Amino acid sequence: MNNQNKNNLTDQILVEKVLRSDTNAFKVIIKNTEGLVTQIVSKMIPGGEDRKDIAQDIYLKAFQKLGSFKFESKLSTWIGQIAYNTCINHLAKKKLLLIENHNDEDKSDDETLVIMNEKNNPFNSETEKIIFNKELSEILKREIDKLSPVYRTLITLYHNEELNYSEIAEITGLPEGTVKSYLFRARKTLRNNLLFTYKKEAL
Amino acid sequence: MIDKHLNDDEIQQYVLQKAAPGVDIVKHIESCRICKIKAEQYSMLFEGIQQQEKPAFDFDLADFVIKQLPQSQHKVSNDKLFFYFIILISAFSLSIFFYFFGNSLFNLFKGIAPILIATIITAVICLFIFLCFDMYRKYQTQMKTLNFY
Repeated sequence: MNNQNKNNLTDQILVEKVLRSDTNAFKVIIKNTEGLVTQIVSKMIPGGEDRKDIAQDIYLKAFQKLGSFKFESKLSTWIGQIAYNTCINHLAKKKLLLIENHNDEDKSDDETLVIMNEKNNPFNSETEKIIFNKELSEILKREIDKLSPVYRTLITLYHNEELNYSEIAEITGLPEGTVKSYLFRARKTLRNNLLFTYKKEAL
Repeated sequence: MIDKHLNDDEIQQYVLQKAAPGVDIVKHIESCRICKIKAEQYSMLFEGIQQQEKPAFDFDLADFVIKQLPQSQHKVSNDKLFFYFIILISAFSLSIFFYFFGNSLFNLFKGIAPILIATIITAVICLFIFLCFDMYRKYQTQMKTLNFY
């Protein structure tokens, strides 16, 4: 039995239990999907204050709509979809931008960035690499936060949650091609901004 | 071998290794200093992203949600009760109205030409259907915004 079938079976058992009013089964569903939901909520919602209410809202919606779940996808993907849409609505109500125009060309020409950073290239020695890793982690965190909510979420779903393009497309409701294109742009923006900031801080 | 520099998309795909890169791409990266550095930078970036600390809530989400579940079900049943209550009140008010003023209402239309009555009834029905349709459309839009799924 492959993993997908195993997941579906577990999902089916859990959903049936919840529909028979077993709240402990719903607790298991929350524990299983909490990581993904937390990632989506914290990447989509900038302030910490609203996150608690949104997370609660997501699971209440999931609980109310669980009867309509058709097992066409993984339960976690379905809950991720609810999480993403709930966050999108929250941002729309607050009139916050979902995707900003990241103008990479303004900062520096691509080849110049590579050459300028060559001297500070972290791959020169192992010690420098370790120091750079620490610095990079800090700068990277700041640069990821500067990305638009959708870009931040796509990056996280792909690189941290290790979801594939079709699963991300299902969660976000975006076409698979758009997901690929947004991810490509997000990574490029992130790389350029990271090098630009690192270069600025190294000077 | 590819003479010009690879674009970012090709380098990203090469680093991610989701599909086996073409021999030309591998050869180019091995021989081109700029593209090699770019590939290393992307590799470092992806490693950095994966090493980012996972966010976590400072409260027990499962317990917090479970506590809210009975309240949520109670709210739904209250909504239904309210709906039935409104229907009951409306039916009661209409019955009282027709019981006391039924004859007066009949007399009111007695002297009017049938064509006029037909016009009034048609206009009222059309208006009623239009209002119901408009109300339903607004309700759907609001539900979509509030409870988007």
